[in-house]
Amino acid sequence: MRSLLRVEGLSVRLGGSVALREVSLQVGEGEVMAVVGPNGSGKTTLLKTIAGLLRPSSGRIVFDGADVTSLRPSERSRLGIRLVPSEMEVFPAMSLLENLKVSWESGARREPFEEALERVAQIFPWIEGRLRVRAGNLSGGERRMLAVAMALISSPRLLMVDEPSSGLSPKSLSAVLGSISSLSNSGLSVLLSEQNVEAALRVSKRVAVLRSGTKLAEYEVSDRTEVTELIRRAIWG
Amino acid sequence: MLDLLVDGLSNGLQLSLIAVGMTVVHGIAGVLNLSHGEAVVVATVTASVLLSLGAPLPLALLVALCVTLPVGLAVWAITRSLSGFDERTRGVLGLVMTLGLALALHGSLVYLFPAANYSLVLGTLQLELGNFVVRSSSLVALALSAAALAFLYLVLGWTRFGRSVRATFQNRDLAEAMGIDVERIALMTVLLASFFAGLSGLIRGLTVPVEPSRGMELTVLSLVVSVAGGMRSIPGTAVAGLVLGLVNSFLAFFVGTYLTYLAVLLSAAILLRLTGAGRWAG
Repeated sequence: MRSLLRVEGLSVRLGGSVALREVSLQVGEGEVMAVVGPNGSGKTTLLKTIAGLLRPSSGRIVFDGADVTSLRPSERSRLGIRLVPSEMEVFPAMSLLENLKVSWESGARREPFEEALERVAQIFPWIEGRLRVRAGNLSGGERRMLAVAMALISSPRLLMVDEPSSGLSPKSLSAVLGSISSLSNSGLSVLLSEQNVEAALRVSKRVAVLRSGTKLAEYEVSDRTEVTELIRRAIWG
Repeated sequence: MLDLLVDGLSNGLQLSLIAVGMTVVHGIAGVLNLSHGEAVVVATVTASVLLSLGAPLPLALLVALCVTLPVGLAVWAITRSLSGFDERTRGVLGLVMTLGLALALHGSLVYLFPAANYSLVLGTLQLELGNFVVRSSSLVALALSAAALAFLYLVLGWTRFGRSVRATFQNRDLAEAMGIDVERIALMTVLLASFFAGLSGLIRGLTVPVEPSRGMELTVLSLVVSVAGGMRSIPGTAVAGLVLGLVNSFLAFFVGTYLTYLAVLLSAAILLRLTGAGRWAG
């Protein structure tokens, strides 16, 4: 599988302490990969650094063969790297339509807005009837799905979702994971960060384990029970 | 009464125009710009001086508006220099640095333009509407302020730039994560706020003489309006400006100016209580 994202020896310092220590990983085209680990293990830092929101102290990030380490977040977004943050993921005082439009405008704009909206509405049909509703009035699960829709409308090539299970009911989580799974079938590369190992393994083909900013291991997800046990041992010994 | 109402509406819309600039800069850059009122005075004084030197009106107005842009650039440079700090530190340092800028502008204005006041009074035509007499300058100021606010509403509500500004205003981190160039948006917003401060200075100059030393008073007034409107709300600020402008004009007539500011502050507190800070966010 051709590699779309390559992270090489990435280290990040936050406020004087090391948040990531020489982390390397690859995400192939159309692949779903998860980064799992306990709270404070560096998962969000990794995703934010790939998106350009944090600067690495060393290492590099290669996207589609080009070094993007020094590019600004807006430049990376136009190349197709898109992050869905774990909290405050939508603009609450804007309507759903405005949220989607502002997201489309800041992306690569490979297709007209109307076509992009139609494409996203096929994945999340409930959005179409509620375009005039303020995003702040949505439930937690709906907000999470809107956040993913906002990322998708910009036609990303790499979708990074930080803690997709965070604050969601089991039903909403299934809907979000289902949409992520169907997206990968259409060729989109996905990188998830997740504390909930079970949720991560439901959609991922490969999983990397982080603890205290260090990558401990990486596994192919063939047998979920076996990999869950391996992850547990890697983290807790 | 009609003349009071027109004066109040005109005054209120001007306050809204000035205060919206302060609210937007605070929302985008996390800095309360204490030099905001000085930009208003800079525009009035510049246009007035150019007119007195015989410059054509359009040129005087254009130069006056352009002169506010370096003030905006200075504010932007301050906000940019503070971008590495956390929110609380940025807020405090921003207050101190923009206060320094305000004092520098204040001192320069008072030193360079020693006349008592400057205005752009273009005539004293009065219109009779039934039993009421209304100053034409108040009507012109009212129309211009309303048009400027409507323009701002259209820009923020219906353009790509406006959506990016509101997105950055509501959640800067998310806006940056989704690829909005927040630094460019911050620069353009600060310049837009300065431009509107200058515009409101020109409109204000049509109705009342402006003293070069009144910048800080205008800053405090726009701060009161911004806080009363919910601090992080553009429509809230516009409504608060209108209400407080009306309160100001009516009380100044019926009670006297000595109690007006106290009443305006009381009204602002009531507005804040009614709206709740941030309820109209964005």
